[in-house]
Amino acid sequence: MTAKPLTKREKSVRRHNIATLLALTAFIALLVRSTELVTLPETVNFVAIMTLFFAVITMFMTRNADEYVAAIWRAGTSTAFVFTAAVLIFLPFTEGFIDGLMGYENGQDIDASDASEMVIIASFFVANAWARLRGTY
Amino acid sequence: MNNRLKVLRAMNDWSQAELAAQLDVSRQAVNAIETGKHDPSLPLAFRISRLFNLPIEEIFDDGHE
Repeated sequence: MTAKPLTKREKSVRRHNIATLLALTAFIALLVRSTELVTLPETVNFVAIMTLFFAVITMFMTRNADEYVAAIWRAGTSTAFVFTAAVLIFLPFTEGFIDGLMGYENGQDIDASDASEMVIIASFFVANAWARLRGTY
Repeated sequence: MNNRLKVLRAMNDWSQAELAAQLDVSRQAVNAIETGKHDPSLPLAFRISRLFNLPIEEIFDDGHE
């Protein structure tokens, strides 16, 4: 039995799925490196950042390859948007509000730039995986 | 949403890939619809309806009487 050639749409969906896996792998490598639990060489950091960059671009270019892929992409991006607003705006605001109520003058203890990128990207991958495993609604 | 897509596909002796090619979606999309992980868009629901020559209500069940 000979395998039928893949349709253009199917190829595009595969590109998106492979890019998602590569991006996730690169993100995990960056996450492991940032925790400093494991000492990874500087090369790993560079390769992971470049892989993440090109994989995200590929994911963006193929996000409408299929309505199912589009639904998964929307699940990830909408969750990441909420986390962006929460981490960059509401978290520092809440900290300032609580400091104001309690009368502290510690300044900003929770720096939004510390782990915000990792939290936002992680929220995308968690929502993406959740949509694939549990459904897109 | 429940649907009879898997049964209808089996009645026609089609693989998921063959059905996907006829509907112009990916095999993953057909699989996600069959397993209830994805509700198809209205245009796709109409394409499915036309392909099997059945009304949408006889393929998809939204749980309402």
